[in-house]
Amino acid sequence: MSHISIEGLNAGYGQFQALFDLDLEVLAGSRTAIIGANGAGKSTLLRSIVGQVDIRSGSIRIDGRDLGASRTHRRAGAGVALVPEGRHLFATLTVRDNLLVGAHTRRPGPWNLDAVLDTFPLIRPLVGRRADGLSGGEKQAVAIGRALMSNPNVLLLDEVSLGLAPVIVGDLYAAIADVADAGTTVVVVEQDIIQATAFADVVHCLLEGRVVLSGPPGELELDDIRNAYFGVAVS
Amino acid sequence: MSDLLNAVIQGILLGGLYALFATGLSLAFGVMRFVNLAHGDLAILAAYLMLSSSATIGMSPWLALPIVVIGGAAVGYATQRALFNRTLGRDPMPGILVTFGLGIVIQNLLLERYSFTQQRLDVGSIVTESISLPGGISVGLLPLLILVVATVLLVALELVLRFTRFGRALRATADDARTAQLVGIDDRRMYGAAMAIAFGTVAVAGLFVGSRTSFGPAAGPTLLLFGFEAVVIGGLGSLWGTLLGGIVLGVSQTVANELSIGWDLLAGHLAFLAVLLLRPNGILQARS
Repeated sequence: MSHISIEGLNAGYGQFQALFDLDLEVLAGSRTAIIGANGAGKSTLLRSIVGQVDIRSGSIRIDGRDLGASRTHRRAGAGVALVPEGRHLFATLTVRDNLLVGAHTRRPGPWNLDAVLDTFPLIRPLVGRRADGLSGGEKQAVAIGRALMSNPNVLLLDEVSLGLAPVIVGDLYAAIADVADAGTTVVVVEQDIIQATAFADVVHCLLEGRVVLSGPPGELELDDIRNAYFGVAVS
Repeated sequence: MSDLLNAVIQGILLGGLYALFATGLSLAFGVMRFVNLAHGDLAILAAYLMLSSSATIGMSPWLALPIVVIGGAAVGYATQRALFNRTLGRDPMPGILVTFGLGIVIQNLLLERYSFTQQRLDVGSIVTESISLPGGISVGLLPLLILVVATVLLVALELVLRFTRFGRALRATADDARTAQLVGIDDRRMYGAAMAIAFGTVAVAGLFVGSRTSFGPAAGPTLLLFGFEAVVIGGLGSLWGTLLGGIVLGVSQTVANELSIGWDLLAGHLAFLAVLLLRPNGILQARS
């Protein structure tokens, strides 16, 4: 069953078009990785799914329902959660309030404050601290935790590993794998090909706003991925 | 000495009124960086509405207050959703122009309807009653009530912001509206709610402004100036700061007047400028 279905998507910001006739299927319960160079349109793709990008044509369906022009907060209420690039925690709120505000939609499910703190033990001692005083890894954990608090069906993660130490990235991906195993559809945007192929069961490579290569990581040659990534012709 | 002490006490009480009036300004700026230049005129409009209700159907301003507050909150929500939300963006100028214009419209409608005559709300004997303190100091019951109401309102608002789901959502929206949408918060609705609170509290301020001193259709801008000074002295976007700022402004006015009659307004502005010079972020640091 297809969970996210994107057809003929043309989208961008103002005059600038970032995605061209893009088609993409994400199966329910799958782990999908979107890879590609800077400016390939990966983040725009995720922002399109949550409704924060101007869509010119094409459709985005979740569970068969066309999202149309529905606004971002409604999509969150429907179970789509995005961990944005750069984490974007609420700077003046405490870690606890950042997590609690993540549950604003009141969607039922297994995730609550305790469950998130169990999954990310490193932030448990920090719950009373203001979010702007945290380290990069701590912020990323809180950002993922905040998204989980909404008990999403679809978890979209943008550049989880950017700027973080490898050991922390490993911990975060282990937690994300647990979330996926519990049945949540997970889509990660990742620049780190090794990390992406290790995590995902389907990889899509974006180049200049188009999908140029798709498949399970085991069936894709690393050289093909590299070529697609950097825009060298794929045989 | 007791004269000076008396002036300080009267200043604190006056500060309560400034703080009450400035609460809505502080909240609107803190949540959406929105500057409402019609805020003073709205307080005066509320005072006139209560004046009319007592003149036409004989309803005491105290009874009219809850109606004006609730009506004001509804109008505030609607105005934000229909008008002010369209002005929000990187550039603060559209909001400033729209509210400047709104203020002029309100002033002229009031002038048309009520003429330039100075009016005063009749709130009963509380105006003349006072409590005597040792040292020959007497504290007027109405100013004391105003300070109590201002403090209770600010504390209640602070508690709501800090501990409720709505308050968290409002603070999150103030920090980063785009990300607030991602967690399911309708930012436009939050802005509407903030403006509902602003209009509601300014209606309360209107009752007290209109009963403490006489007022006319053009009294709004002066009030607005004091309100802004209170907000900036305390620290933009901080509610505690607004209470403190109102009191600093009130005390500097009454103390200066005690030292030399007629210097109150200038002293208030000088205190404001001194704070801007020495602590440009206000006495209390703002939330963000």
